[in-house]
Amino acid sequence: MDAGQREQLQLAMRALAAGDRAAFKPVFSTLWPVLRVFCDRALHDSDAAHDAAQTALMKLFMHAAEFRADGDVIAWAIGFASFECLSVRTRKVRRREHVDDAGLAAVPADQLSPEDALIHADLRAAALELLGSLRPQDLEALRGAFDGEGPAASGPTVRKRRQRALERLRIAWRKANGHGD
Amino acid sequence: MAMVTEAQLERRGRRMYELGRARWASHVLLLTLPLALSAWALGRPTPLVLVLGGALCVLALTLAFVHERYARAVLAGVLAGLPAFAVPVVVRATGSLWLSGAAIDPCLPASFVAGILAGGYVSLRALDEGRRISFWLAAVCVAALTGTLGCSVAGSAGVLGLMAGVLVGTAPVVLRAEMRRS
Repeated sequence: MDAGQREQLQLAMRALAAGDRAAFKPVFSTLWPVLRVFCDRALHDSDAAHDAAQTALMKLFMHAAEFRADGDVIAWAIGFASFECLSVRTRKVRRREHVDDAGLAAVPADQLSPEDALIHADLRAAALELLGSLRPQDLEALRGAFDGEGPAASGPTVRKRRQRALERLRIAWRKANGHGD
Repeated sequence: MAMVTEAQLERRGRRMYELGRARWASHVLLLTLPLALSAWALGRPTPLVLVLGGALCVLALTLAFVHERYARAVLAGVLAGLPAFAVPVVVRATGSLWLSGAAIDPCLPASFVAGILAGGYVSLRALDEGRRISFWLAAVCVAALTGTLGCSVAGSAGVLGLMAGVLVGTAPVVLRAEMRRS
């Protein structure tokens, strides 16, 4: 959103707060996508984000008459959305805390729990992203190591190359995640 | 929550907005309800308080709901109507005025003077607004109802005195504004 659009939105919100019903449409059509994007980024769950953005927008309109003319409308709207996103997260955490024994027993012993599967998927995605940032020579060296190439390919030069590639991978991981574990 | 289309969401948003405005507008009742109650406590007849007080509350609520400008008009109207509300009640307690051997009800001149004050104040406030006439009309209606709660002590003559006073009080302000414009 550029400065001009922001100014227009600010004016429309002021008018709506005062009681100009004609300003409803521009406020709605500008704020709805902003709240959707914010909630999507905050929750990483399209359905939950849609619900949170909807609730935030409804609350915003409910309190529209209380909007202060000197306040920033985007900051005000994001305040509602943040509150909703936090509420969704808190509800999720509570739901997880209240999983009963029967629910746990339903998870097969040889299968990952949904939470572990999600963590693995996140780690895999992060690792793939990091591997994509390495040089092609390093990638080749690492693939050789992971594929378990025979002794013919394990001379001192190759070992040294793999060691360097692993070191670069470790440094990239530290940069991205803040620790080397 | 079920997925809704943007049009449905917009309709729901409008409903929420109107609900929010109604809630916000209800603050004016903090001003008008105590007035009606104090009129009743001052001994004004219950049916009159119910009719005038009810009308005042409904009008104030509606005006504040429509626009913030009219919420300001309600405040101005109540403030302008306060002398008209209080003065006749106080004056009545002092008894009749005797002028050249004839008894005059002091409420009539008191209502008239209170009306002048109300008209002057409301007109001055209207000059600061963008839509002066609608603001003035809204504020005068609220002031008239507020004042009538008190000045109907003097009967319909008291109310007429108040309205005449409002017009007299408004005239100089309007004239001055017109002269400045020209």
